[in-house]
Amino acid sequence: MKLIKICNWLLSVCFLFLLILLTVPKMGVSGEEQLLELPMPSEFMPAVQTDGSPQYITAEEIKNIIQQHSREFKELHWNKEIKRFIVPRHDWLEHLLEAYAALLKKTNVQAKADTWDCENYSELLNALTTVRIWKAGYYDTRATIGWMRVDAKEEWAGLPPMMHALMFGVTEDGFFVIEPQNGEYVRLKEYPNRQFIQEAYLF
Amino acid sequence: MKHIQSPIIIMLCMMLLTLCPGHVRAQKNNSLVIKSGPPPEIIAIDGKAKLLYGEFIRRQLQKKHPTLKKIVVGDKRYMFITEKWFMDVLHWTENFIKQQVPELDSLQTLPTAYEETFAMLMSNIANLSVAKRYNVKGSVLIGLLVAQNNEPWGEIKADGTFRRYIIGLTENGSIIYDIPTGQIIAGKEFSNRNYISGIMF
Repeated sequence: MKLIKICNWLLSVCFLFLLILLTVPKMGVSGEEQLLELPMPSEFMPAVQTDGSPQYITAEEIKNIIQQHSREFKELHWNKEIKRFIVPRHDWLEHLLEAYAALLKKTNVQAKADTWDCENYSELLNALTTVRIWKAGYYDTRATIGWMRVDAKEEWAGLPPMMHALMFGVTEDGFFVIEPQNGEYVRLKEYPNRQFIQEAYLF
Repeated sequence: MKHIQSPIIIMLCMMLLTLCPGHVRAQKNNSLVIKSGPPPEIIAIDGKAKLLYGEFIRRQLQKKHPTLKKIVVGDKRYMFITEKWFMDVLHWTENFIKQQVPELDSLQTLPTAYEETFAMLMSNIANLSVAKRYNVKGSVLIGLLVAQNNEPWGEIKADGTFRRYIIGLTENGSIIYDIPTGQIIAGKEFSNRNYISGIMF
């Protein structure tokens, strides 16, 4: 009887210890090895075709869409080794923007000419998107998410008219213009500065 | 029996309790825990960051490398960083990608156009770090270099193909890093320095 009591007591202690191990948050081992917890978007989800396979489009198709809307458009830059670009699901794009907003909030970085400006906001989001595509196992493509230079004449998404860099994304719902500094987005046909898109980059 | 029942009830309660924080962790799955990088080290003279105009850099590079066809110097001003910090940011970026995509280690070849994304990620992480710590208007000189392999360099054969490298300008001059082989060299010792065709900052 006494042995059962001891066994039960030991079992309870072990379980408590395990519980503490599981619930205590992870911390750095010393001040020099501080750990950062960075918000990341969920696993990449491609838009799918009727047969269930991922949807792709070519750089030329993206170029044509921009050309139809912008009278100042000069060039779309992309790495010619990439033959087709994978289309993300629209809700994944939304999740990506939410995660990026959370990341920026966490870093608490303020816009600063040259050091951290509109191009940096766009490029970092672009690079992070590509890493997420790799994580999902798509190594020979990029998402249809890129950035572009616009000689903006009208204020949009809280940013004044100026030479500006911002993002674009093509999903199964269409072509969207995205302001990476605050996550605001709009359909290309409703973007007030669409006529002044000059260059776009798919890398 | 009583002695057996009571710990079982306790354990069941504990199991229920463990489910709650477990749920919190499931929601936090989309985050990455990574070691923070060392603070940025920029070059300063009399307490002011040493800055160079982008246009000046462009002209200097054109003069130095006649084979250079494409130069992208997107920002107005640039700053120099220490060689040590260049290496720190490089390793941090490698670590960041590896933590996100551990499968890369088992791949025969890197993803298509890997170097572009690496350079973009590295330079923007460095800029973000500088912007948070210093009140300086300038971008770090970290980018992508394209050169034709006309001369061998360590594990890289002279096969005439174009290869992409990471380039950084530090207080000791330029540094060139080859991602697939992990080789690193000072710009002035780079065997294909006479065959550079593109630099993008």
